[in-house]
Amino acid sequence: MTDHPHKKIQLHLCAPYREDLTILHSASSELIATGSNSDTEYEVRTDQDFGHHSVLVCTQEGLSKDLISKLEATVATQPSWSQMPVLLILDQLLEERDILEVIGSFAAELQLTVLHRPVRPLEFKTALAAVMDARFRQLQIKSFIAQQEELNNELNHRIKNTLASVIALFNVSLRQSSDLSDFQQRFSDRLTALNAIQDLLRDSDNATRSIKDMASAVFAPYLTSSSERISIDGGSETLSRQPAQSVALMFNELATNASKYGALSVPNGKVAITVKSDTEFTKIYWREIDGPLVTPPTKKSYGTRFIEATCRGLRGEAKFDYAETGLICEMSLSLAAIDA
Amino acid sequence: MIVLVVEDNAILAMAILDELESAGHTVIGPAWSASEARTLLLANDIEMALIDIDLQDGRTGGDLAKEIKYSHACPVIFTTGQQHMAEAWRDYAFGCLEKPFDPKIVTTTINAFEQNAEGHKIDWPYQFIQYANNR
Repeated sequence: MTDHPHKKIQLHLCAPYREDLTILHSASSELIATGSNSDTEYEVRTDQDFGHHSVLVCTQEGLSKDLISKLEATVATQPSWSQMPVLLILDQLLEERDILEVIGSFAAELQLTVLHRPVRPLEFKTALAAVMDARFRQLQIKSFIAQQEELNNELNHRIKNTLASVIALFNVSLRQSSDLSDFQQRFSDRLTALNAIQDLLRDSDNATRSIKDMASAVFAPYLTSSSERISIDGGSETLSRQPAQSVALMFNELATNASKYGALSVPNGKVAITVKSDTEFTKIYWREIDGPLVTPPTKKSYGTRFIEATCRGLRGEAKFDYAETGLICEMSLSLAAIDA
Repeated sequence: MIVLVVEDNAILAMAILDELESAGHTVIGPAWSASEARTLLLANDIEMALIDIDLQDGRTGGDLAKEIKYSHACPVIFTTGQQHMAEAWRDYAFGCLEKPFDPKIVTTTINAFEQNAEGHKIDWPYQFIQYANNR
């Protein structure tokens, strides 16, 4: 998310009588100098080059045909958040409806304030503050809309990415499964893991998550209250969104495999995870202990290949050692690749 | 075909890799970032590149496509859920696959591409948007 854009308000003064202009100018400058909206820039101008950040202060004499047509052109293009604030200073004799007639039907699109001469300084300042504030509020809405749009785009992007993951997991699970109930188990296990990760990553946009946090979220379904079957030593290294998700998915594949064939498939089996980092790599060691006797697989499983490909994608590598006493998996990830 | 895969969604990257390899293609990657892809490009010849726009090192997929067009002169296919972003780089790509997609569509698209190059009349997959002509 970007910060909302800097607001800039242009105050146009239109008063053909020099004396009027001098008074308007000094009153405006004074108001701006004491203005409290620090993230807003104000600019006092005497041209008629109006935009959607403009506020117009105009005396009766300044209300020329030319000015009115410029106003009309500006209003014609104004976005939905904008309603140009105009402060008119008129002679006592002139009724408001006469002025509306002079301006034309588009007057309804303006945010019109009318003062009658003689105008007291305080009265003018109060009215000017009100029209400037009106513009300020509109610009706040403008940046709010922009932020909202950015959020929507980001959310849409994430939903598509998640759906892409779900379709991919569906395919992978289908390919691995021997029958429907096998498929159901594999697919729902993976969706559950994806959901646990989503819960953890939901809270904020930019916050990073530690490897330990990801591990806890993924292993929750495999843990019983009484025993510490999965221990983790280290892991305070933090990862941004996408790498965090991948590390969590690697843990999920390892845990699924361990619960089917490895240490987590028997009551006393344990897993010890150690995380160590140096300047170049973060290394994650997964060690299964007190499980059934291990026999090396005859062909690489999806989980193995997923871990290999994911580590490779992060400029690291994965090594599997099918020791008789328990699987040892060493995953190295380049932090430079993660922070790039 | 030798295909470079640049994708930072690990699950999708893996599924694309699986799909391509089981169809007999050779995969270079997956790379998570444009910078990782550049390292792979130095060491490998490729015949096609599948590139996500939004990668681990930012929205760098477009720049990468541009570089590949000049350095390897091979077709690039974008894979993205953000069509409007891919559009901005259309001059450097053959087309775009819109996410989310079934990974099978990747091989279907490559098959169609090969058929098309040989001059056969083909139907592109539903989620494929063609930018250029490869004949």
